[in-house]
Amino acid sequence: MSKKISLCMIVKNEEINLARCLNSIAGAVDEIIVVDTGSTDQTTQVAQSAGAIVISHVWQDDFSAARNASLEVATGDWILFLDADEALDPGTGQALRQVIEEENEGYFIKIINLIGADGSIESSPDLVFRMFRNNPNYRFRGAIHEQVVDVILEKNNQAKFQIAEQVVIRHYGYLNQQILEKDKKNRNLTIIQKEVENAPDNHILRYHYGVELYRSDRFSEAAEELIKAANHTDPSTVYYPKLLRYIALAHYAAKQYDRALEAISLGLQFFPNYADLHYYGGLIHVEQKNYAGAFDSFQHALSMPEQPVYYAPFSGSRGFRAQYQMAQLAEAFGNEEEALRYYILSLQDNPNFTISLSAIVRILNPRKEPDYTKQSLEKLCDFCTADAKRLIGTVYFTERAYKLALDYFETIEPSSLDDYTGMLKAICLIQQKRILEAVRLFSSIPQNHPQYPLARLNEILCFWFDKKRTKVRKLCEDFLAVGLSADTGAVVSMLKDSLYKRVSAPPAVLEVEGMSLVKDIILRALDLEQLPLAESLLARVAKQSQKDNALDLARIFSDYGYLDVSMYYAELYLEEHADSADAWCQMAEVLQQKNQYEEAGLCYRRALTIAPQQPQYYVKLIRLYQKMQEQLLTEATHKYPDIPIFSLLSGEASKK
Amino acid sequence: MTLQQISLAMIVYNEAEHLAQCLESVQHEVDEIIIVDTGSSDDTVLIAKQYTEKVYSYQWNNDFAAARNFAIQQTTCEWILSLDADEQLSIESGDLRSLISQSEEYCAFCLPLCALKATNAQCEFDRFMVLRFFQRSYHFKGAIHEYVAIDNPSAVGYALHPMILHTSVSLAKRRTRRGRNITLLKKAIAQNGTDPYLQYYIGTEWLGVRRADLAITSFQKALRQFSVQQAAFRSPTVRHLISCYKNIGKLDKAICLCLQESQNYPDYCDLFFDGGVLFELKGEYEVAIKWFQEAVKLNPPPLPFFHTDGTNGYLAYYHLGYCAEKLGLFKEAQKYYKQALAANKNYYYPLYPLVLLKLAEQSAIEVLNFLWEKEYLLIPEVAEKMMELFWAAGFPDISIQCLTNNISHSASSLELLVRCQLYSGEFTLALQSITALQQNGMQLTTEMIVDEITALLLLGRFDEARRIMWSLWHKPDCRDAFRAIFCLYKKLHHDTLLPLSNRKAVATLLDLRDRCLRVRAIGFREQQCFAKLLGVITTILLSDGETMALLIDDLQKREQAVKESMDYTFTALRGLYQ
Repeated sequence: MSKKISLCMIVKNEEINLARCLNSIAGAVDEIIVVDTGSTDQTTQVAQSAGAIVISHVWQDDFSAARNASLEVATGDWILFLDADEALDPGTGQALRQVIEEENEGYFIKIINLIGADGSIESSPDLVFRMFRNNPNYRFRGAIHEQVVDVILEKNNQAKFQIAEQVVIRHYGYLNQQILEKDKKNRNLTIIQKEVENAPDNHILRYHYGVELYRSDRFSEAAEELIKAANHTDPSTVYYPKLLRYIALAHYAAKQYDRALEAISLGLQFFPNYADLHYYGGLIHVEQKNYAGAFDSFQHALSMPEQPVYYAPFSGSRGFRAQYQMAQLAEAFGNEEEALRYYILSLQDNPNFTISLSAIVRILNPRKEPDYTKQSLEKLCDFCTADAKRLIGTVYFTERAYKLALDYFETIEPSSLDDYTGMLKAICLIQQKRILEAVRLFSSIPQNHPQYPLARLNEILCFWFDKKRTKVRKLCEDFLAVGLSADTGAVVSMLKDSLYKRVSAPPAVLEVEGMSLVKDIILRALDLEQLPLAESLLARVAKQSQKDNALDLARIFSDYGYLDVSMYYAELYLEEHADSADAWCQMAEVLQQKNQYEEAGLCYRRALTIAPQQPQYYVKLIRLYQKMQEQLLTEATHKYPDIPIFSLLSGEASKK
Repeated sequence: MTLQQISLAMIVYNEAEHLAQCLESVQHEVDEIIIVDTGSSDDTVLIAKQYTEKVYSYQWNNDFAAARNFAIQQTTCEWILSLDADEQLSIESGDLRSLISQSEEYCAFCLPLCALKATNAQCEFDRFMVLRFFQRSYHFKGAIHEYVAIDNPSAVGYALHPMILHTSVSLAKRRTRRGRNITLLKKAIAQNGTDPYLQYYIGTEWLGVRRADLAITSFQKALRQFSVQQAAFRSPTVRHLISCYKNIGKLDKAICLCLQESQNYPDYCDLFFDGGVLFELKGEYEVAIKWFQEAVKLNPPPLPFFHTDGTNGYLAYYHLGYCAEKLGLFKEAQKYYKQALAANKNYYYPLYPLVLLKLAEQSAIEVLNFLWEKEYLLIPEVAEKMMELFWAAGFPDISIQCLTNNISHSASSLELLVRCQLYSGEFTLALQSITALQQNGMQLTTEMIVDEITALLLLGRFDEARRIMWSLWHKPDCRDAFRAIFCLYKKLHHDTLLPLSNRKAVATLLDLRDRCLRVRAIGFREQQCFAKLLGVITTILLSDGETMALLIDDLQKREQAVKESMDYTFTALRGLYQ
């Protein structure tokens, strides 16, 4: 049997991608036909040099017409069609001819979609129909999302299809900026909308229409169309699972949670081991604060077996993502141990899932426990590449563990150090009081550099932390002269004024930008144990601005152990926001640290009554009561040694 | 058009308590009132004469029928209405005259006799059809539980209106009546042992004096005799028998009966309701739910049937909510309670569990708004109950907002109002309220005095506090409260620790502590005041080994309560939290 294969493609301005594609099929096919719809770059030359037959085709908003043009001139027995941003996996090309059998009319091939950007690329497998017997009756149909499978079945209802084992296509089209631009999306949407109106009974088309609507954020419309399509689609169709999943996703995105859950439930009846459905169900339950339901769903997702390719599984739905969600649940209930366990599992499943890494670091508390954190983390991962060091350094920086961050930044070769990381390193140097080195780094940044403002500000801070009045004043005035936004300018003036006792300028009213800067500076001042300096800066902020941000300030001060100052700000915030559960909780935490247990208890209770749906307040209150009992028992056994009940209870408590 | 005339024919005996009420309700509905007194020794005759001249004396001879027939003989109108003095006619949805003119073919009517059960009218009443309105050609028969004898059943019409309301009589009076009836019935039964009606009536009398055991035998006998078609008497017999079995704890027997009779009466909603209640008592909530769901699918039974209002509606939904809660299906429970309230706005019992459920997921303010929107707080009883509920749940600030100014409230709710004001941090307001109440002549309870002193202590007005404290000392039964407060005062004002070993005094302090823990003050400052007070109470309690143990125990109970409410809100999450 002759197994001559013709590769048929349609292209426009794909000079870079096309080369990769055609290289991958070298020797695997016998003929290459490329239909060009109006390239203005070197596309046609690339095709010709690969030995392709190039045909020009006037674009008429019709993908099928273009593809069919290639089929018309194909002379092979079999047609293979690929897109320019695809390529066959090395070594799989040979399998193409081997897999062909007389009894089959067409083949599905496994495709791996690569999504994301450098540092976090995810792969998502799927199954697509790409090879079929060359027959004048088999032509593409549909102006967009062109189909050929149902055409074949119509013309030949005995047609059999198989999966081409061993062959793998890799799709690079979703990487980085290669995602569809908005106008392309709209163009596709218009085309397909017209098509659906003309062919209301074409349910495959309606499915694609629904998907396009979803991608254009028109969620409730998407759900409607998808449901219509689903009602007329055979459950054994290869894309049926994806269709059901899209329905659930559309409802979810449209915030129609109950309907989303119904769709998921229905989907699971058909495909009980479809991990994605369990995972999305879990997310919806979290949204509805049904934590028990969420727990169950994520556990189900984790226990699912490896997914068949045509489920097009969302990467991580039965692995790192579900584990991450379980960790989040555990944290919400105050169970840090369990949370850590799940975050670690998540990271082990996908070492590139940096969110889990950040969470692990956060729980280990690197600022207060640097050695323990470092050791624990090094047991988990090896930070040997520059990229890895940069990553972990940045994570430590975000957690304000400046010394640890600096340790890693310093192990990176200066030549591999990008500007942003360089800035972070310099800030760490300030926090480690290595002012000279820091200043050197900051002053080397030129005025047109995007990091310039940050550099200048930090340069001022170098001297501000050292209370060098004159130098600070000079630098501030120079910086202001450059021209700054109102808020930033105000902060710079404040920095200048705060080192002087008598100031004429009134306290400044700051917006979000300014307050954000101030909070950051306060934080760093406290890190350097410069409380008076921090307070002098805050004194220059208008009372109302302070009040609006009082909760954040309370947190910052309590983080660094300045409990009384923290309480002052918490109370300030509560004056205007007596219904803020977070504020009451923050107050309670500080009171607890000050051993004012009764006061803390009242505050936790207050938070609980304001927000009964938050698990954390319950947990904190329970722990407080346990602490109080513990303390009383110790006191009691000491004070009344001859009353047996106390030692008994105390013994029980210590066993818990 | 012929002018139909209606006569009221009554026999009375010592009915001074209720007679006026009865005659008031009916005087404009009839053209003539005949009252036959069988030997009253109170003001009955005097009262009767205020409404009619036609008051007659009759020598009682232990024969109700004879007495009533005598009354009929004195009437001159075409139609006769027979009422008892402890009944009233309710013409809200229809009167007697329109009944006659609407239906030409009937010679007699059965009207619903409604026995009100709960304190709020229009809810939960039993409906039993009685033949009380008939043309004068008919007569009473039967010395005890007399009935109007009508040979042609098709001449009898059943009407839902007007209703005869049976007001509750004093317990003593009921007992004497029942005693008298039982004696008479026993005599009648001795002569006619097989009459099922007599058995039914004596059963109801036994039930009335809480001898369910004796009632059972009578009802069983009656049940054997009544045919399925005799629904008017068979249906109450069945339901009363079920009730009897339930009372003596034989739930399974009651269930069997329910099952049996549901074969005879497959559309009798009351039966399904009763069945549901039985399974609910047994703790088989899923089965109970199924029975109640059957009940709500049905319409009320046809008129001859004995029917309790709400068994196919609000009552069933209420029970459905209760069962759902027991099964942990809190969302369903809420739905059911809402359905109950929608079915009958006046039956507000489902509101209480509904509010508790809502508080577990919404903020208290939202729940309060819900109550206002649905206008529940305009009903004094509901407002007061809600006040208690919010206070118990720890929302004194919300509690205050349950009361409206232009509705008068009970003394206990005014007391609670003051307490809530205090524990919302409104010390001065609380003190003002107490003064205002005293000026209005209200007698302050010990609790209120304690609240007053607490407010003064928190405000630092120690001299005034001390003065009021002594007033506590002067009342012997308030001495323990005094001891507790005095201890508190001494520590707060003079930083002196006095021993406190008196049990009752300690209880007062623990009570006060419990209240402080429910504080929900407007600001942080006020809350700190209470925290300080709590601290002082704790210090006092720590000075003694026993009280210290009480304190530790209290903390443990509170910890447990929070854990339970966490489970309730989030349903147990295996292993995610300890």
